[in-house]
Amino acid sequence: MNIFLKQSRRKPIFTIFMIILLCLSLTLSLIGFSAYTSMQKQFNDINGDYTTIAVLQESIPEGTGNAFGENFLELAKREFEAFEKAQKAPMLKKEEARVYLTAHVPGSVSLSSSRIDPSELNQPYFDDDMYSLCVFAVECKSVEETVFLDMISYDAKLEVIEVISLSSAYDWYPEITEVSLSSMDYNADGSIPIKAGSKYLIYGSYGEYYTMPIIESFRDVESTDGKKMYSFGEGYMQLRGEFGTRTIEPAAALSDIGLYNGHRISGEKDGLTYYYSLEDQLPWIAEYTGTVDEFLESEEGKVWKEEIIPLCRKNQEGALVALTDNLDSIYPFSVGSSFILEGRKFNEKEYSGEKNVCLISSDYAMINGFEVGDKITLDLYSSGILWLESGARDNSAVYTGEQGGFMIRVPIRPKNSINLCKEFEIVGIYSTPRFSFGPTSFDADHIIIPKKSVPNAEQYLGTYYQDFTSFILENGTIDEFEQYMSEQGYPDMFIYNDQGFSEMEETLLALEANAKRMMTLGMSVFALITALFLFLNFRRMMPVIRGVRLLGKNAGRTRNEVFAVLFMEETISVIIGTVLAAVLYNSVTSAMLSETIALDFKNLLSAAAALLGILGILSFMLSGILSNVKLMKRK
Amino acid sequence: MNSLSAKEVFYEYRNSFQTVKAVNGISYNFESGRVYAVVGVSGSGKTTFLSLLAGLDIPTEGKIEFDGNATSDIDRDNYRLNHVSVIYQNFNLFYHLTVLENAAYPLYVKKMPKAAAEELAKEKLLKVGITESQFKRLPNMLSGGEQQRVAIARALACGSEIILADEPTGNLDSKNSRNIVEILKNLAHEENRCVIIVTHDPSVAEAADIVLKMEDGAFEDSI
Amino acid sequence: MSFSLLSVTFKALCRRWIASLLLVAVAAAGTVSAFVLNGLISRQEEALENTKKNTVISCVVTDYSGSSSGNLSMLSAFVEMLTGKRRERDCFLDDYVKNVRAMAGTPLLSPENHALRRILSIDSDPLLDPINGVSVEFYEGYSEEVLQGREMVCIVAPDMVTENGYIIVSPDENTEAEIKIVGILNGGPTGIIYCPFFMPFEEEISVAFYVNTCSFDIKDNTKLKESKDYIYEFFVVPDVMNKNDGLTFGVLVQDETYHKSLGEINSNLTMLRIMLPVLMIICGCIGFFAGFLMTKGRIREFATMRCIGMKKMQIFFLVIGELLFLAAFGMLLGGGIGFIIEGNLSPKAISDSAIITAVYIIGTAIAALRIVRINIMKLSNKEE
Repeated sequence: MNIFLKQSRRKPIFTIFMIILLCLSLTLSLIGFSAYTSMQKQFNDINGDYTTIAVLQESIPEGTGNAFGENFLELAKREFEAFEKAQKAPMLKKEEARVYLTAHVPGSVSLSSSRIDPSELNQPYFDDDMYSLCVFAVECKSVEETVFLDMISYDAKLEVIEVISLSSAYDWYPEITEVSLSSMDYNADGSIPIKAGSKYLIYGSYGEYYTMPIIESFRDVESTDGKKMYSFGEGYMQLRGEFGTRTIEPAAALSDIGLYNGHRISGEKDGLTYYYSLEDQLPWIAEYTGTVDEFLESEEGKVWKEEIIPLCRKNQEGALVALTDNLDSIYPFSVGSSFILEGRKFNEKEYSGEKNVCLISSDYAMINGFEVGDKITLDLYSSGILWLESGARDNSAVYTGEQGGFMIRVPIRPKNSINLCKEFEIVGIYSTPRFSFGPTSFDADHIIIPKKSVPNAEQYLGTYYQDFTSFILENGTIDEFEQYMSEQGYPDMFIYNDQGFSEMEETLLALEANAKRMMTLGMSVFALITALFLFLNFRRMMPVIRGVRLLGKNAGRTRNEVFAVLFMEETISVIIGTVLAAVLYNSVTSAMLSETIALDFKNLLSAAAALLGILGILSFMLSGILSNVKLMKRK
Repeated sequence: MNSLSAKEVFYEYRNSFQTVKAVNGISYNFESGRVYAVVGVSGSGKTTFLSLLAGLDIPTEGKIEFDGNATSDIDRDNYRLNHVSVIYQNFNLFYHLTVLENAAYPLYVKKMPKAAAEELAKEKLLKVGITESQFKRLPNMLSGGEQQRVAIARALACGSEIILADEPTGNLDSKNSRNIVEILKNLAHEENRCVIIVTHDPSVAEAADIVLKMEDGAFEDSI
Repeated sequence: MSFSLLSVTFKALCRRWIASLLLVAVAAAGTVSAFVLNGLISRQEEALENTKKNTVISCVVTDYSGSSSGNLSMLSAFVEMLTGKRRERDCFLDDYVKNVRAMAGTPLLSPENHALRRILSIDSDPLLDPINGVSVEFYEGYSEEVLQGREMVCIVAPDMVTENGYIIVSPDENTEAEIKIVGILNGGPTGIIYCPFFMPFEEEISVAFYVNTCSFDIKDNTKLKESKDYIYEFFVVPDVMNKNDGLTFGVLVQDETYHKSLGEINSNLTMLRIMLPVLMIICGCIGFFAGFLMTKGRIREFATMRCIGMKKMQIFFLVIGELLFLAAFGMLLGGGIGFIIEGNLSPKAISDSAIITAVYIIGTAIAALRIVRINIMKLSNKEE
């Protein structure tokens, strides 16, 4: 028989009230705890919505004029050192470097400039060869050789028989009937590979140039078959250029972008220099007779049909792919000049690579008719990117100043395939200033995918690693980071953006402080009431403990009996308290419809179990101590 | 001289299940200057009768009269404060008050000035054999006999004419018992108070002037 | 009640220090709870107000479809409207928006290979973003504000600075203007002359031109909805289904994160507001039961008092007095701790803590009443 249990039962009001008292304090503590966990969750959630970045500021002046000057090297070294120091900053949360790949998106149309607005850029210098690779069937009308210094070159006027492969970006009024060819690419023996009156297939880079800007009025209309046409003379005012020349540059001349791997060598004829391609390279010109189809079916035409034309198509259907672990770490997205227009950003699961998803620009979506939820196939290549330091303008027709550097993709070559071709679901469409410039530029021809979609994506980080790196800082540590960098000797090297976190910080701090206070309050009340509970219980039990000990019951047994009763009362209190807390908290928070604030049963149960554990241990210890009461009365 | 008498006193304890007749028609007249011992087996109703004399409650039937007034008609709190003092087997001291404070407590209740109250309490304490060095001690630092003396001193300090003692020596050894009984006897004989002791102890009963034997809630006869 | 009785009661109170301390602690805990719980709401509300006030909600002007925010070809009248320059025509947005940033590029015939850019502020042109290493240095007497005016001034790259401090520009064959150089553009784009957005080529003649980019901030976030409604009277929500008539432009209000965060915090506040009375009631109940149980343990003591002849009410008031003292002490202590924690004494917190303390005293009073009313015939000899 447990005498202490009897004692409890004999004074039911006292016992019940004790249980109620403890149960209420547990309810308070558990509500406090639940509020704490949900506030913490909210804090993390809101905190997670903000990304604070530090991006290395461009300290090298624009233009290539002083690119190799002393100052340039010094500045570049300093940038590099500052970058290295930043990598070791204690407030650095993550170093996020964008990786760039190129994708062939079968069936798509790529986003060359003129695609969007005919008045905008439509020249090779901006669009460059990845968009303008083409194969034309032409008839040579005239060839003229010129000598400049010690180099020879030739100009040919070509009549277009058939456009075999060309990006549809150039498919507009007026029709392409003539192109000019200006080249230094000769045959190996120094003879000109083209002569008047013959028909050729030419593989090269197509370009259109404008002359003086004029103001025209036009509007875009769609023909019945859905093809885009432009009607001049009515509609709204738009700046555009007047047509100048259309050119084709031999593909062999594109060695500087890696298409020909530098296998274009110089030869000499009569003391003058010319260039020719090695035989193992793809041809850029082939003479033919008969029809184009006949030629393509012939042995000589095989390389054109199976390699050159598909390569052109892949490039015309290509896009740059940016791989990131955090969209908001990309400067334009961070500052809001680029933003999600439709759909959403990636979520945690998608960043972890669980699903193949992508973001495309609104321009790309419009041109291809893609919508959120559509799937596109990306066949990925590590062709690399090129940084063009200058020469770009924001509008080909209207010169509004040099814009600075911009990035282009290098044409796709089969050997650069990373052997990864899969479908990506479009989850969002973003808007970005079209054809932006500068080191943090982010163009509309980027398809963004989570970095984890590609295994070991980091191996494709290129030369521009530093330019594409954002240092993600702990929110609210901009000042600390700047101070750290100053202490390292590199002040004012970084540009920061916290997406408005500093304005939200006060609220978040209040939220965090509240969470802590809630928790502290709950725990303090719990501690106090536990003390009271044990005090009152032992005050009641002490004479009985003494009594049974005097009767010869040993301390251990007494302790166990006392503990059993206390633990029973505590267990009842914890059960009722937990249920009460869950019911109260849940009924309050379920009306809020906020996921983060909702009751987390698992957490609540763990907390309740922990509290019961604490109560149990305390009761056991005190039962042990007090069961060893001195039987001699104090004098 | 004040008189205390019981007239056809009946008392019942009731609870939800049963009714117990504890006192069953006692009539008796107590005189001052005498020591009465009420003896009897356990459950014979001694303590209940004593409690009724102390005015803790009123009889179910009959009456207890003090100075000719029934306790049911008078202010019993005032009666207990000024005329009756009870001494219990377990002393019923205030364990957070010192010996002196315990003895003086009824005087504080009577609104006697603190100094005067303490002076009187000291006198009574010394009288029952508590030394001055013990005045500032808390009760549980004293022996049972000493605690009982403090309880008696508290009763004396009140100046009550009637001293009721419920097994005052129940918790004490024989030497201490003798001392307590001696004190109570002196109170009756020298200070002319009426002392009524409920006891099991034959030696206490022997020391009494009148022994009343109680059985089933009634006095058998006086010895 | 005599002073001696009170004094001796107080002494007993001190000697029962564990129990007294626990009672004081319970009362103090109630008060601290009231302070802390009240503080939670007021702190959150205050912080939220500041956040609302300080958060910058940017709005970007896009084309009709929202696909581009550059090369807008939007008439400058829209910017006039945003900056309140068309007030007299009852067509203005400056009551709702601030920090209007706009850039308009104009090609120049002369100087050759140069362009003019009209800007409202330095951050109107992304090319001037400090990220690109650009810094602007104004001559003495001039500041960025000059860009909002109509003065014929400009900022140029260092290599364009002339000896006389003026630069002659001509946007077309019939116009020529002499513009004063008032600032230097270090590390910025070359070949661009930056001038105030509304600068005319001839004084007193207003010009209309096409704007390339435009963005602005919401003036008062507390009136966000009203502001948006008003903005969308002149602009549209970007959508490919919109009509492309050359006069329709979209505005994208970048308030998603702001709304989300605010929503979270508001739900938190609502939770606190509903939870507060619940917690207060629980605190009160804890006080009630604590007081009740603490007092109930003193049955024997009260019974003895009754035996001595103290009246029921006398004991009752003695107990209540004792507890009032402890409660008052606890409340003061709790108030002190609460003040230290919260840093202020809000009347609501004080009244709430008074209510909690009162509930606690009621609990004690009920316990005391029960005890003093109990039949002491049963108590006088009972062991506790």
